[in-house]
Amino acid sequence: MEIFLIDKIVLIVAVFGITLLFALYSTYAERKVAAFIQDRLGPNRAGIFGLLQPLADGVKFFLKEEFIPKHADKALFILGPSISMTTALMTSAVIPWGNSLELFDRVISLQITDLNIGVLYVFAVVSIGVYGIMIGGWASNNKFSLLGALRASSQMISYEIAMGLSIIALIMTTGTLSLGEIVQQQGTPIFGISGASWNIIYQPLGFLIFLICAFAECNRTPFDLPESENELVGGYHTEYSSMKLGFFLFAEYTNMFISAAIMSSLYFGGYNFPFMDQLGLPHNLVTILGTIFLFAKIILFIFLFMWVRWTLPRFRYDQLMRMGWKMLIPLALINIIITGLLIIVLK
Amino acid sequence: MHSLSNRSKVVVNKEMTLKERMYLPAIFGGMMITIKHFFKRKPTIQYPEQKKRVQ
Repeated sequence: MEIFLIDKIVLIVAVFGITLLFALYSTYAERKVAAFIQDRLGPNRAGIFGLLQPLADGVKFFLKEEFIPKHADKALFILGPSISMTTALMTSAVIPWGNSLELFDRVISLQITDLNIGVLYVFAVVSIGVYGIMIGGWASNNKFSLLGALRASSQMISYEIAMGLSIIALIMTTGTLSLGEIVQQQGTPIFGISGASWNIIYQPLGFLIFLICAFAECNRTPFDLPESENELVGGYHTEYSSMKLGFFLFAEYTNMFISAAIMSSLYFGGYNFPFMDQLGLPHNLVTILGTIFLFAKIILFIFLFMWVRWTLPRFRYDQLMRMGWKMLIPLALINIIITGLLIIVLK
Repeated sequence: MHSLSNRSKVVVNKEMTLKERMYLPAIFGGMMITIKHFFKRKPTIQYPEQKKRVQ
């Protein structure tokens, strides 16, 4: 029991650290990608290639004045960013970061906990994340913040429906809600290639809907209405300064990392990679390679998030709502029907 | 009506085609443009280290 606890604690700390590291360096990557796309060089003064830039930014955030507006509700004002950050970090518990390692005569699973309702858990935690933004915007006692918070909550609720519906089609094909099992199933061979039966092959439309909704859930362009700076000053975080602002921004990057991880696990095979069982390598090495592949997929998705952000302009608010309710939800429903029909026909 | 500058453009309010309404082809086209710029050589001259010769 104690050994089990120690394993889990080590894993939790490692996942926590890696998530924070990714969020930290996402800010750097974002600036670099933005610069490269705009024919600039980006930050390159702090350290080699500007690699120490996130640390400099972090130090700057801590040294900024901590300001709480006079008419703001102090308790809720502090609670807002804390909820955002906590919920952003909580989802990582159910993601399988790798298969299992055989160390010291025992098998260590590289998933913190394999909940049998893992997918539901992710959705539950993500929906609580809205409260962080809403409470923060409300407690600021500022009309711009309130409008930003309103937009964020209505947008997230609208897109969560389509996201949930696209997941239902996926669950119909996998037959399980546990993320660990969903990833394991994708390791079965297809056309004689092991570890390549990724769900994207069975659910291309579902993935597209999920991807669009993930952009909306993370408040990324073209859906970054909640913080549209030219209409709402800064949206829900207008009144925030110092590390509380840092938490909000950091939560956004953490969310991006987590949704990239979830998309890779649900649709792109997680830690599975083609020919994984045919290489004849020892189990531990395959597991480590799998984890590397998972992170490669995650990095590609994060790059996609950034690439889209620096390509597209923002939707107008009515366009955003029309797309969510009139295009994505019907499309997701059609996807469910097609999936159901195919399951019946193929059986 | 005749315009003064002869530069006026007639705005066409035609219905968008299905391809345009799907957004995705246009989004993909845009992303191809930005990725081209991503790999382009940057024209930046980093002043104190690099100096441009003035003719």
